[in-house]
Amino acid sequence: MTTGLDIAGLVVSYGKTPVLKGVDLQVPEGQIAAVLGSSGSGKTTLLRSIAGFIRPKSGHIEIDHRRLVGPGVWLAPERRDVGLVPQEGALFPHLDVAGNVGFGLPKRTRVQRAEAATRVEQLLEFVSLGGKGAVRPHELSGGMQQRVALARALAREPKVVLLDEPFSALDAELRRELRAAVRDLLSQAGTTAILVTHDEDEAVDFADAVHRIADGQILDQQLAQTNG
Amino acid sequence: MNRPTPRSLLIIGATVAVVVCVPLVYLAIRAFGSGWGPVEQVLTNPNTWQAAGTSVALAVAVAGTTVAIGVPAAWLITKARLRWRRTWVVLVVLPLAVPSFVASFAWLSLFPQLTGFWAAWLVLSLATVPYVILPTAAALRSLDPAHEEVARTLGSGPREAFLRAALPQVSPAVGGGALLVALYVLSDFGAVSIFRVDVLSRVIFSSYRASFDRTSAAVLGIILALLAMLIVALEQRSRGRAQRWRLATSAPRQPPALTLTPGWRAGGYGLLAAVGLLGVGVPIIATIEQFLTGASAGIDWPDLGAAMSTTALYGIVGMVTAVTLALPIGLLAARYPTRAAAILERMSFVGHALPGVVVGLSIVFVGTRLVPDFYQTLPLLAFAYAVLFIPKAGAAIRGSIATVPTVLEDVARTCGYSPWRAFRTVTMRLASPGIAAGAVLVLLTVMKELPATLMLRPTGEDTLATRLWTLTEIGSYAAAAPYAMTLILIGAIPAFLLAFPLARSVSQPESDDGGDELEDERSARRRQLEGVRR
Repeated sequence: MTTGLDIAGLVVSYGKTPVLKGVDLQVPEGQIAAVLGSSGSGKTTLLRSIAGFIRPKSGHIEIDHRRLVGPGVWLAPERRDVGLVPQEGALFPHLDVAGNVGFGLPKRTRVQRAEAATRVEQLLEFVSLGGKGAVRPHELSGGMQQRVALARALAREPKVVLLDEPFSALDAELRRELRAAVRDLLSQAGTTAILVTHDEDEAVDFADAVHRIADGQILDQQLAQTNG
Repeated sequence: MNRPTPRSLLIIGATVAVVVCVPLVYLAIRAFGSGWGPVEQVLTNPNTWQAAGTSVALAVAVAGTTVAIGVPAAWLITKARLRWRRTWVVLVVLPLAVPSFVASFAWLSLFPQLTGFWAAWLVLSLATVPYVILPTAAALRSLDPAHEEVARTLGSGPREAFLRAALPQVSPAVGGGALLVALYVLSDFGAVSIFRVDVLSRVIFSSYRASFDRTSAAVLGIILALLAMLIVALEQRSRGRAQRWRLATSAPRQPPALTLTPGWRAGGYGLLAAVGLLGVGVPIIATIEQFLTGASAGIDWPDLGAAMSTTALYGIVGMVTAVTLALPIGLLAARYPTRAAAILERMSFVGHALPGVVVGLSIVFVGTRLVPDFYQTLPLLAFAYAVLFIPKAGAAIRGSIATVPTVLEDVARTCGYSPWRAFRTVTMRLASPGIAAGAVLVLLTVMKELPATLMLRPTGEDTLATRLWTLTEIGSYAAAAPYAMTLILIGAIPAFLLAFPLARSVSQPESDDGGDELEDERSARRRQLEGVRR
């Protein structure tokens, strides 16, 4: 395949229990893919394997032909060039919004700090939260918290953004609105993204391609192609 | 919407709150009643400020030490892959079982040359380190691992992710624990008396005993009370900070335990073993050794029996008084959370900030001047226990009642129950296990209380604690050992009660062992529940 995310033959076990049984998945650069599955299907394990929190038994993961995992290769999460938007945002409660968004940006020198501040401002504008930099996370609504989490994930211009059911804690109307907003933001940023969800409507609305996962295997590639 | 507060309950609650505050007010009147002269004399005496300075220095030294030991210990028992993790948890929490004066007696019986500031620092640090370990471990357990994971995806290595994303969130719990330690040290009377450190609590007691005019003791008492109140205010502020930082409502998933390198693992086991063995092992071994020495010389069984029955009697009377007086306040706070209820609760919790020696002294003044017939009688001592332990009883009552949904009482009312009957048969019935647990904690704490009991007990009567104190004062360690042993056994009960929930929680399944799938199921359950709630 061309550039983007390439996963082949990924096997993950917890003790003796196999959870991913040879997953193959390709997401071309700039595309948004959804991995749709029920509880226990292995979708979260797949996402955490891409992020580097789980060591697969075998198989490989590459981003833009750079191998993250494979025989004799294993990169730590901080070296993978991925951004993560967890469930409920997981904003750092001890930092304000600007501190959260700029968490991963280098700030050793004065120049770097100035650049980081500018980048944070741009990102906050980008997610429609301009001027909210000094606000604490607990003062934001659930939807705003997720926008901040997305801005934080995008700050280092990752190659792939991983979205772990980021809308599940929101009510239905807000979920629909935020879904559309996040999708637009990701498209504008041109970032490759993977959403894991158990909600079929959400997967179809959000993604360019939907991959169904069950019992640790991708059942069918490109189930739906409705967006783009 | 809040239900209207029944007037009778408000009146009873207000009466309790005012009565509980009377001794402190009377202490102030006593201190300033003879004009500015005596006050100035105490305030300009360099010994006063030396004692205050030593109190603060000891509190800071002990709090700093407990943080330096307690935070790594809490990290080890919650985050690291250890063998026999539950056992380590229980071991590092068990020093709570040993009152500071019992630990001091034990160390002194082993090393009779121990004396002064650093001896008190050592024993108090070992006795209070669980006050830092428990809240820190609980905070580490409740941290959402997603924060550290996000930090990792943002370029931080494991150590940096912990330092930047996790540790700042735990810091209010660490700070709160350290302040509790500082409060404990400031209020401590036993260890500092046994090691002869001239801190405020000891100077107050000496001044109370030595002089007929107790104005200087009252002034010193006010200074100590103000210092303690400052610490309580700081502690409440840090608790508020921790509360504000809470974002997610769901229980966090537990990350896999970290595997340490052999060197770090050995160091970790060494630290945990030192905390447990020095904090609880040494006192027990020393006590047993002294007990065996004493047993060969003959134990004064009638004296021990009398002290045990007096201790039990005082404990029960103190518990009943504290729980009875705390009931209206706890009920107001749980069911009718108005501004008035908050004020009354805060007033009644004055004992939380007051060292036992200050409460004892203030009630001595009340007893000798206002109700001389009751001075050095059980009712006045029971009142002192109530002032000291209403906060403990009140917290248990409020917590237990708050967990019973008000709608149950409403249903009972629609079934024809009067308000009182509905409360008694529904709310009290359901809340009673929690209230009983709180009452038992009060009972056990009363049984170990030393300074107020020393000052207010009826003449000729001794509890285990006061008997141990007098025997240690004259260096009769072997004779004191049976009292120390009984007190350790009494203290072990609440220590185990505190250790077991933590021990259970740290040994729950982890996500590297199928926990991820468990989490998927949990998420699904959470969503279902949320659906039901909506």
